[in-house]
Formats: sequence, structure tokens, C-alpha cells
Amino acid sequence: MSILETKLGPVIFRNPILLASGIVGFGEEYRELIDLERVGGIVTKSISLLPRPGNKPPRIVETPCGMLNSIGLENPGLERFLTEKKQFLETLKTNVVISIAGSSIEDYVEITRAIEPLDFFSVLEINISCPNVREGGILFGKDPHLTESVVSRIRAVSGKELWVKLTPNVTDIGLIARVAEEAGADALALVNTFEGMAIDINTGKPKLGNVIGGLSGPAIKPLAIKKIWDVYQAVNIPIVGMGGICCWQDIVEFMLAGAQLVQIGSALFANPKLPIIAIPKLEEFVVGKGLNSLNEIVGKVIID
Amino acid sequence: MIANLKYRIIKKVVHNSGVVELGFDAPEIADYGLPGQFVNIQVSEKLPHPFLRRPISIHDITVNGEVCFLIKKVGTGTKMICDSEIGDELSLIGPSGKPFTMPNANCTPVLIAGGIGIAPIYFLLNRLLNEGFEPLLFYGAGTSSEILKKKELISSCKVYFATDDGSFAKQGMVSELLPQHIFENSGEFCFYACGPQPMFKSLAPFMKSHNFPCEISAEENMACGIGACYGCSLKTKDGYKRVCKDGPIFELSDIFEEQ
Repeated sequence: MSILETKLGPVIFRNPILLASGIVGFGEEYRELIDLERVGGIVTKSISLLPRPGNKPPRIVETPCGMLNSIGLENPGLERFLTEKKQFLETLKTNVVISIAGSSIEDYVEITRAIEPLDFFSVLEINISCPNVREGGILFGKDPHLTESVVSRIRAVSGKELWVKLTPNVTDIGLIARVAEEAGADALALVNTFEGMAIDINTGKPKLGNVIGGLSGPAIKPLAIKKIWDVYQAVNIPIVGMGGICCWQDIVEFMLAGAQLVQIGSALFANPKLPIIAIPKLEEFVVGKGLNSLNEIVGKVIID
Repeated sequence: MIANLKYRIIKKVVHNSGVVELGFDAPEIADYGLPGQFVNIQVSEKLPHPFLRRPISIHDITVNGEVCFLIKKVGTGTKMICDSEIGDELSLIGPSGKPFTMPNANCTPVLIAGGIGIAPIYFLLNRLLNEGFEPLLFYGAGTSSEILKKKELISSCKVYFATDDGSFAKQGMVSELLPQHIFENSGEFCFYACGPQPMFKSLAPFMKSHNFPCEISAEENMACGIGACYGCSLKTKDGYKRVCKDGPIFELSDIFEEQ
């Protein structure tokens, strides 16, 4: 067993680095830039029941040490995912996590049922935290009752590993985390982006076509780590941590806070090779610290 | 074929108005790069800000494999790239995007550049000249000093200039010169343009009224730059299209017809 290998439920990850949803689409475009089979897994763009055209441009604005996006879940929808996008994923020799998003609980259930028979993926990531769509998305992740409903309804129809992706835009993330755990989540993925806004002082208009968006990148790293630490103390299921990871040291920091796996998002835009560069560095870290496995550091922040 | 490697800067020229030309020893990009395509340049490896890469269109690829960019400092990112020196290495991803379509043999290519829009137009011009075409160039800028590579351009093709302030050549927008001069030439025309939004908008009615094909190089903030994230989508008559993958070259009427 490799010193970076880790297991969540029945799923084995060759290392704890996954590529986050919304960053690599359905994988195909990135295959020219990075060996996708060296990472622990990739998370697809969230699939909705029907195609979504996405939000009015501009959709991307750079902000200090990060970026705002308001893509609005532009995706081809379930049907075209099944006919056009899944073929490439089927050939990938790494874990595929399918992310789904709905405007209603029925949407989530219908997509789950439709993809449940596919055997090339082992994990379903339920996106209840997109800040950029009007109906659904983040509403499910901000209200504990809706979180409970959507997770338990999906649990009832899916035997896959269920990860629930949480929004940090709540007062008590520990509460939502516990609700998701009790409703049957196998792990929690956090954080999605922080709601943000930027205004052009010359035109007086918002810089994003959608007015508001989600903030990601190194700017949110300390905020994300705090949320992971909060959730680590609130639940007993594993955490998949993300939010501004830019280097191997950040991965260690997220793991110390309680994440067993991590996802790399926006930093991949700046450096698609980041995950591949981080792998040997993490191995060196494990050896240097005299550990048997990187897994041993999960949640081991030392608080005197 | 998209390269994702660090390349060394082997040429730096500071032009008028602080526009910087950087030449990279980037053989993989030189082999595949075509006029209209761009390269996503990493601003800095060390700093978390600016965070995103900057998509810059290819300005030229020389016979000895040097890939050149003509960069205007418009913000922190482009300024930092421009501050790079010969010998520095930057990470480049490219060539990316859809190139300009080369014209039919019987066509007169008409190139239109506004401001720093000369960057990709120059590359196209050189390729057209190499292919034996006799292109016409309409080139507008804010003021006389913002016109780049003037002598070189004049010596290579017929150029019509305009400046906003009238400090050189005709005062006004370059698009205003078109109706006046284009019909001095006969035959079939195909148009290629790169410049600011107002230039595209002013070209649209002219192209439409004569039913001229006109390819433009569009611009939008980008994140991944390879078609995966849908961050750079632009509204077209066929719905949203990704500038990085479906473009950056679009038909003018697909974007500006409705406006």
C-alpha cells in the first residue's frame, strides 16, 4: 500500500488529491495538460436534469488572491451527459465522482436513479451549495430541513458513496453537517465558494453579469480551514476538504484540520500540474515525519 | 496539441506607449500556433496574486521558432508579464482556441486593427503575405504614438491609418475609412478584425449591409482557457459560446447582429 493511499468506505484513492467539480468539466479537455490517472479522482461538473445555459457574462472576475465566478452551472443536462460525456469518464483509470445539482428534490432523485446503474463511478457528490442559480442549489444547503430531505431521499435510491457538498455561507455549518450525516451522507465535501460581489467604480455596475458570484482561490483558504475544523468536531464521517489549496503544504494543512481527502479547484487554472507536483512532496513529508501513512495526520492539529 | 511548459524569454522590445513585445523560445507552440490563437501565460509562480493566467494572442512566430506576444499593460497581471526580462521563464499553455480561417485564393483579405488589436492581425498579415495574398490593412489607434510597427507595416502592404485625435493620418475611427477606401479595390473581400468593442459595433452595420464575411477576435475574462470551466462564455446568436474553445475567432454577425 502506498503511503498516500486512503480509503473512504469501500473506495480506495491512490492519493488524497481530487480535482474539484466545475474545474475540469468532464475531464476531456484537461487530458492534454495533466495525467488525470495520477490523481486520486476527478469530480465532474454538476449535472442537472435539463441542460442549463448558464449565467449572463461576464462570469469570471479576478479579485485579490482569488476569483469570483458566476457560471451558473452551465452543463449539457442528464441526457447529453449520458450520450456524450460519460464515454471518456468510463475509460479513466481513477475514481470518478459524479456531481449532481437540482432545482427541486425530485430533480436530484431523478438524476440519481438514472445514473445509479452506471458502474464506472463510485461516488455521488450532491451539490447543495451552488451560489449562482436562482432556484435550488444553495437553498438546499442553507436550510437544515431541506438538507435532510434531499439527502435522505437520495440515500433511499442510491447505493453509491454519498458525499454532500456544503456551502460555507451559513451561520452554523456544524448543524448542517450533522443533519447531512444523520440523513445518510457517507462523507461531507466542503467548502463550496463564499458568496461575493465586485463593482466597477467607473461604470457603477457589478463586475459579474449575475451581480453576485462565488469566491474561490487562496483568498478563502483560512476561512475554509476554519469551516473544516468546525465540521470535524461536529460529525463522525470523513471530510473532503477544499477551498484555496495552492500547494502541497496547503494539502497538509487541510488534513491537519480534519480533511481525509482534498479537492483542488481554482489553483488548477493557474497551474494544471499542481496535483502532480504535490504527490512526491507529500510522500517526502510522510517519510520526513516518520509516519506510515499520510492518513495519520487527519484532524491532528495540536491545540495546547 | 497544447503545450504546458515553461519557456525562456529570448527577446524583449519596449515599443511606443509602453507596449512590450516578448519573444519566447517555445518550439512546441511555434510548430502548431496559427494566427488568431492565443497562449495562456502564467503571471507568476510565486505570488497568490494575480491569481489567474492572462490569455494573450500570438503576435508572431518567426522562422527560427520564436513565439512573440505584443502586450499592453492594462492591469497588474499584464504589467508583471511585461516586467519580465530576457532569460526569465514563464509557464505557457497553448496554442489554444480556434484560428482565423484562411481566405479563398481569389479573395482580397482586408485586415482591421484597433489599438493593441494589431497583435494577432500582424501575425495573420504575415501569414497571408507568405501565402501570396495581397492584404489591405486598416489600422486605428488613439493617438500617433500608439501606432506600432508603422514602417514595417507600410513596407509590407497597403495600410490605411486613423487616429482618434487626428495626430496621425485621418481623424476618427478606422471603421469610418472602410466605406471610403474599400471600393477603390475590386473583387471579392473577406474581413478580419481585432480591436475594442466600439470598433466591432461600428463595423457590424457596414459588414451586414454589404453581406461581407468578417471574422473577429473576441475577448472575455478566462479561467481554465481550454474549454472546461465555461467561465469565458460570450453571448452569440446561437447561445453562449466559450471564447477559449469555440473562439476566440467568431463571425462578427454571430455576436453583434442583434445590437
